[in-house]
Amino acid sequence: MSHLSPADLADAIGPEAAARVAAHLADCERCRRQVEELRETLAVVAGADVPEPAPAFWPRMTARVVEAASSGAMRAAPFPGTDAGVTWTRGLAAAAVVVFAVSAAVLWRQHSPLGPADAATALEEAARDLPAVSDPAALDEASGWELVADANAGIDWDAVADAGLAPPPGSTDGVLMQLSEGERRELARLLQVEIAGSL
Amino acid sequence: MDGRGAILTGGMWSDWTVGVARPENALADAPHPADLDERALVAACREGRRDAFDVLVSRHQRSVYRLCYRFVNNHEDAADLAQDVFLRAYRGLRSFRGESTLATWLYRIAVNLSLNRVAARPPLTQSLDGVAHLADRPRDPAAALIREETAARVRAAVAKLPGRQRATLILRVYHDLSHQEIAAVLGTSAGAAKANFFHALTNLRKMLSASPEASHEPPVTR
Repeated sequence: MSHLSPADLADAIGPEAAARVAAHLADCERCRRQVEELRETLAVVAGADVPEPAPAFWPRMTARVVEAASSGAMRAAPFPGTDAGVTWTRGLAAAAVVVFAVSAAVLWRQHSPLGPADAATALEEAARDLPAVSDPAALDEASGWELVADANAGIDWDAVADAGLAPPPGSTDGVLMQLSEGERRELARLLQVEIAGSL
Repeated sequence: MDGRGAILTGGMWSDWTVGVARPENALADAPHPADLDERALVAACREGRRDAFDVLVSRHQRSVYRLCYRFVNNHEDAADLAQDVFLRAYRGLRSFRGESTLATWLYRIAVNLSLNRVAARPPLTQSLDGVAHLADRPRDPAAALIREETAARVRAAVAKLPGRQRATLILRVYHDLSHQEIAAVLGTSAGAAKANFFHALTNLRKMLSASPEASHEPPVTR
């Protein structure tokens, strides 16, 4: 005795199975049991709801999509917490490093024996050695941190400290450097909450 | 109707102003987009009415988001995908010929984007550990906690299905598409859609009945 095919069994789950299928089920215990099992699984699967987002999510999503369409953007602004959002914060971190490096270079120029022209040349050389990044948002985590590492590779931190650019004891930066790993994680979490709340 | 509007010019929305092709008094006569049926709403979007696109997104965003969520099993990716779906739809609205419902057309975009996403990066699915087994279902359906645990277990299992089985099951069970409509979305035959549905349910039954240790097994490949 041949049994029902997968497509026939899928049909048999519904209330309106073909007469041929219904006739087979009337005579075939094995197929009947299989259909019952499928129906039982279907009932469990059908009852699995998706968690409902916060009510504020829907108008925000509408606004983001319409805004992106309005501006002709290829993508809407990422929601906080998405990969794109994480990339954005990585970009912010990278930008902070760059700002710090440029500020340090300016101060260094004021305190170092190098003349302004020499300092500018040194900066240009350092920038030339960095990899070209056409789209910072497309950086993944590894390449993003590699870029940051490359940007800082040439810095002589002893010279920075000698020049008085290292944070003095008790300063905010100094406190940050003395935080434990757990304290830094908690600080990062609080900052992310603040950033998410401000978007 | 407040008499304000926007028009699509060169891919960009602009507020309607004097000199734009559509006169102000035409806006006063235009029905509010929320009152339009699907065909008229699509036509209004094609005319460049921003408020019409707003209504279109509002009408369909829940179902599109839910479909995406079933694929990726986490809010962040689902929200990101749903936004992409509507932007693709916005850019491709002129190619929508009304041969299917707008919802089905949006589902097709969502399924394609979701399949691409999970192919490039497996979804962040939670482990099935500690979630109720199929056989352990309580007889009391009001046990909300158990129900949510079961739902989480089902969602995680669905996210482990092969792409086409997953798409078929999601569209059939959660979006009420017929096998014929699913076939149109996936570019396959109705028979293949039925077979995919059968295999999806069979695989889910195995996963949901398995011991917690089995949840660490790799996704099903057939």
